[in-house]
Amino acid sequence: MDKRNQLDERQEQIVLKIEHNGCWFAFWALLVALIVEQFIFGFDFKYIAGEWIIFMILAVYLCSACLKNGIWDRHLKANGKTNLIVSAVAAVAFGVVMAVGSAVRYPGHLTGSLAGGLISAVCVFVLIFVCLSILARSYRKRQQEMEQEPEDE
Amino acid sequence: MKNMKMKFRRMDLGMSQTELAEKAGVTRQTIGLIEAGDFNPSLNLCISICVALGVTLNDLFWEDSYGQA
Repeated sequence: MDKRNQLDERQEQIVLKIEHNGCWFAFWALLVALIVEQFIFGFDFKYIAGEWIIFMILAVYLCSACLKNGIWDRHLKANGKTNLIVSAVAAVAFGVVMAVGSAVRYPGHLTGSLAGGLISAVCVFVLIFVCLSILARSYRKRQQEMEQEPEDE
Repeated sequence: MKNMKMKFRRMDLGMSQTELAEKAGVTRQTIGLIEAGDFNPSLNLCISICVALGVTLNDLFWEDSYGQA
Protein backbone atom coordinates (compact mmCIF):
# COMPACT_ATOMS: atom_id res chain seq x y z
CA MET A 1 0.00 0.00 0.00
CA ASP A 2 1.32 3.41 -1.00
CA LYS A 3 1.17 5.76 2.03
CA ARG A 4 1.44 8.91 -0.07
CA ASN A 5 -1.76 10.89 -0.58
CA GLN A 6 -3.32 9.68 -3.83
CA LEU A 7 -5.71 12.65 -4.03
CA ASP A 8 -5.11 16.03 -5.59
CA GLU A 9 -6.11 19.25 -3.77
CA ARG A 10 -9.66 19.33 -5.18
CA GLN A 11 -10.29 15.68 -4.32
CA GLU A 12 -8.85 16.24 -0.85
CA GLN A 13 -11.33 19.08 -0.24
CA ILE A 14 -14.21 16.88 -1.43
CA VAL A 15 -13.14 14.05 0.90
CA LEU A 16 -12.96 16.50 3.83
CA LYS A 17 -16.49 17.70 2.98
CA ILE A 18 -17.76 14.10 2.82
CA GLU A 19 -16.10 13.28 6.14
CA HIS A 20 -17.55 16.47 7.65
CA ASN A 21 -21.07 15.51 6.55
CA GLY A 22 -20.60 11.94 7.79
CA CYS A 23 -19.34 13.12 11.18
CA TRP A 24 -22.30 15.46 11.76
CA PHE A 25 -24.81 12.91 10.50
CA ALA A 26 -23.41 10.36 12.98
CA PHE A 27 -23.51 12.97 15.78
CA TRP A 28 -27.16 14.02 15.30
CA ALA A 29 -28.38 10.50 14.43
CA LEU A 30 -26.79 9.12 17.61
CA LEU A 31 -28.40 11.90 19.66
CA VAL A 32 -31.85 11.24 18.19
CA ALA A 33 -31.42 7.47 18.67
CA LEU A 34 -30.42 7.98 22.33
CA ILE A 35 -33.37 10.29 23.01
CA VAL A 36 -35.90 7.95 21.38
CA GLU A 37 -34.51 4.85 23.09
CA GLN A 38 -34.26 6.34 26.56
CA PHE A 39 -37.07 8.85 26.84
CA ILE A 40 -39.71 7.47 24.44
CA PHE A 41 -39.19 3.70 24.72
CA GLY A 42 -37.76 3.81 28.26
CA PHE A 43 -34.81 1.50 27.56
CA ASP A 44 -32.58 0.72 30.54
CA PHE A 45 -29.26 2.63 30.43
CA LYS A 46 -27.21 -0.57 30.11
CA TYR A 47 -28.76 -1.18 26.67
CA ILE A 48 -27.69 2.21 25.33
CA ALA A 49 -24.39 2.60 27.20
CA GLY A 50 -22.28 1.86 24.10
CA GLU A 51 -24.02 4.49 21.98
CA TRP A 52 -23.87 6.97 24.86
CA ILE A 53 -20.12 6.48 25.37
CA ILE A 54 -19.39 6.92 21.64
CA PHE A 55 -21.60 10.02 21.51
CA MET A 56 -19.89 11.58 24.53
CA ILE A 57 -16.38 10.83 23.20
CA LEU A 58 -17.35 12.43 19.88
CA ALA A 59 -18.84 15.49 21.61
CA VAL A 60 -15.87 15.97 23.96
CA TYR A 61 -13.39 15.52 21.09
CA LEU A 62 -15.16 18.08 18.87
CA CYS A 63 -15.35 20.60 21.73
CA SER A 64 -11.80 20.19 23.00
CA ALA A 65 -10.22 20.18 19.52
CA CYS A 66 -12.04 23.39 18.57
CA LEU A 67 -11.17 25.12 21.87
CA LYS A 68 -7.52 24.07 21.58
CA ASN A 69 -7.39 25.75 18.16
CA GLY A 70 -9.23 28.88 19.30
CA ILE A 71 -12.35 28.08 17.26
CA TRP A 72 -15.92 28.56 18.53
CA ASP A 73 -18.43 28.19 15.70
CA ARG A 74 -18.90 29.11 12.03
CA HIS A 75 -22.01 31.18 12.63
CA LEU A 76 -22.46 31.79 16.38
CA LYS A 77 -20.46 34.22 18.49
CA ALA A 78 -19.25 33.31 21.97
CA ASN A 79 -21.29 35.77 24.02
CA GLY A 80 -23.97 35.73 26.72
CA LYS A 81 -26.86 36.38 24.34
CA THR A 82 -25.96 33.39 22.13
CA ASN A 83 -25.50 31.18 25.19
CA LEU A 84 -28.93 32.21 26.48
CA ILE A 85 -30.65 31.47 23.15
CA VAL A 86 -28.89 28.12 22.63
CA SER A 87 -29.62 27.05 26.23
CA ALA A 88 -33.28 28.05 25.86
CA VAL A 89 -33.71 26.16 22.57
CA ALA A 90 -32.08 23.02 24.02
CA ALA A 91 -34.14 23.30 27.22
CA VAL A 92 -37.44 23.62 25.33
CA ALA A 93 -36.55 20.69 23.04
CA PHE A 94 -35.53 18.50 25.98
CA GLY A 95 -38.58 19.51 28.02
CA VAL A 96 -40.91 18.59 25.16
CA VAL A 97 -39.18 15.22 24.67
CA MET A 98 -39.40 14.47 28.39
CA ALA A 99 -43.06 15.48 28.61
CA VAL A 100 -44.05 13.50 25.50
CA GLY A 101 -42.00 10.48 26.58
CA SER A 102 -43.56 10.54 30.02
CA ALA A 103 -47.08 10.98 28.62
CA VAL A 104 -46.57 7.99 26.27
CA ARG A 105 -45.25 5.76 29.05
CA TYR A 106 -47.73 6.90 31.73
CA PRO A 107 -51.00 7.75 30.00
CA GLY A 108 -53.50 9.41 32.29
CA HIS A 109 -50.86 11.40 34.17
CA LEU A 110 -50.76 14.45 31.90
CA THR A 111 -50.15 16.98 34.69
CA GLY A 112 -47.27 14.93 36.04
CA SER A 113 -45.79 14.58 32.54
CA LEU A 114 -46.00 18.34 31.96
CA ALA A 115 -44.47 19.08 35.36
CA GLY A 116 -41.67 16.59 34.67
CA GLY A 117 -41.03 18.21 31.29
CA LEU A 118 -40.95 21.68 32.83
CA ILE A 119 -38.57 20.73 35.64
CA SER A 120 -36.29 18.91 33.16
CA ALA A 121 -36.28 21.95 30.87
CA VAL A 122 -35.27 24.28 33.72
CA CYS A 123 -32.48 21.91 34.84
CA VAL A 124 -31.19 21.52 31.27
CA PHE A 125 -31.29 25.30 30.73
CA VAL A 126 -29.18 25.96 33.83
CA LEU A 127 -26.74 23.13 33.06
CA ILE A 128 -26.19 24.12 29.42
CA PHE A 129 -25.94 27.83 30.19
CA VAL A 130 -23.28 27.22 32.86
CA CYS A 131 -21.33 24.82 30.59
CA LEU A 132 -21.49 27.21 27.63
CA SER A 133 -20.38 30.14 29.80
CA ILE A 134 -17.36 28.18 31.07
CA LEU A 135 -16.46 27.01 27.56
CA ALA A 136 -16.90 30.51 26.12
CA ARG A 137 -14.54 31.91 28.76
CA SER A 138 -11.93 29.21 27.91
CA TYR A 139 -12.37 30.00 24.22
CA ARG A 140 -11.84 33.73 24.72
CA LYS A 141 -8.73 33.06 26.83
CA ARG A 142 -7.31 30.72 24.18
CA GLN A 143 -8.21 33.14 21.40
CA GLN A 144 -6.36 35.95 23.22
CA GLU A 145 -3.28 33.74 23.63
CA MET A 146 -3.27 32.83 19.94
CA GLU A 147 -3.92 36.38 18.72
CA GLN A 148 -0.97 37.83 20.65
CA GLU A 149 1.34 39.63 18.26
CA PRO A 150 4.85 38.10 18.05
CA GLU A 151 7.85 40.40 17.96
CA ASP A 152 9.16 40.85 14.40
CA GLU A 153 12.88 40.07 14.19
CA MET B 1 9.15 27.14 3.29
CA LYS B 2 9.03 30.48 5.13
CA ASN B 3 7.54 33.39 3.25
CA MET B 4 10.12 36.07 4.09
CA LYS B 5 9.04 38.27 1.16
CA MET B 6 5.62 38.67 2.72
CA LYS B 7 7.05 39.32 6.16
CA PHE B 8 9.57 41.92 4.92
CA ARG B 9 6.94 43.70 2.81
CA ARG B 10 4.64 43.91 5.83
CA MET B 11 7.48 45.20 8.01
CA ASP B 12 8.47 47.76 5.33
CA LEU B 13 4.95 49.14 5.54
CA GLY B 14 5.20 49.23 9.34
CA MET B 15 2.23 46.91 9.56
CA SER B 16 1.66 44.36 12.31
CA GLN B 17 0.34 40.86 11.65
CA THR B 18 -2.92 41.89 13.30
CA GLU B 19 -3.34 44.89 10.99
CA LEU B 20 -2.60 42.81 7.90
CA ALA B 21 -5.00 40.14 9.13
CA GLU B 22 -7.77 42.71 9.49
CA LYS B 23 -7.16 44.05 5.99
CA ALA B 24 -7.08 40.55 4.47
CA GLY B 25 -10.14 39.40 6.47
CA VAL B 26 -8.45 36.56 8.39
CA THR B 27 -7.12 35.96 11.91
CA ARG B 28 -3.61 36.96 13.00
CA GLN B 29 -2.76 33.29 13.48
CA THR B 30 -3.38 32.63 9.78
CA ILE B 31 -0.97 35.41 8.76
CA GLY B 32 1.61 34.08 11.23
CA LEU B 33 1.29 30.56 9.84
CA ILE B 34 1.64 31.74 6.22
CA GLU B 35 4.78 33.73 7.07
CA ALA B 36 6.18 30.73 8.95
CA GLY B 37 5.47 28.49 5.95
CA ASP B 38 3.14 26.26 7.94
CA PHE B 39 -0.04 27.03 5.98
CA ASN B 40 -0.67 27.16 2.23
CA PRO B 41 -3.22 29.90 1.56
CA SER B 42 -5.83 29.65 -1.20
CA LEU B 43 -5.39 31.79 -4.31
CA ASN B 44 -8.18 34.10 -3.08
CA LEU B 45 -6.39 34.67 0.23
CA CYS B 46 -3.07 35.25 -1.58
CA ILE B 47 -4.79 37.92 -3.66
CA SER B 48 -6.32 39.56 -0.54
CA ILE B 49 -2.90 39.68 1.11
CA CYS B 50 -1.29 41.13 -2.02
CA VAL B 51 -4.00 43.80 -2.25
CA ALA B 52 -3.52 44.65 1.44
CA LEU B 53 0.25 44.95 0.96
CA GLY B 54 0.01 46.74 -2.41
CA VAL B 55 2.03 44.18 -4.37
CA THR B 56 1.42 41.48 -6.99
CA LEU B 57 1.28 37.72 -6.55
CA ASN B 58 4.69 37.41 -8.20
CA ASP B 59 6.23 39.81 -5.69
CA LEU B 60 5.21 37.69 -2.71
CA PHE B 61 4.66 34.13 -3.85
CA TRP B 62 7.04 33.50 -6.74
CA GLU B 63 10.59 32.23 -6.24
CA ASP B 64 13.11 32.43 -9.09
CA SER B 65 14.04 28.80 -8.44
CA TYR B 66 10.50 27.71 -9.47
CA GLY B 67 11.25 28.40 -13.15
CA GLN B 68 14.37 26.24 -13.28
CA ALA B 69 14.01 22.72 -14.63
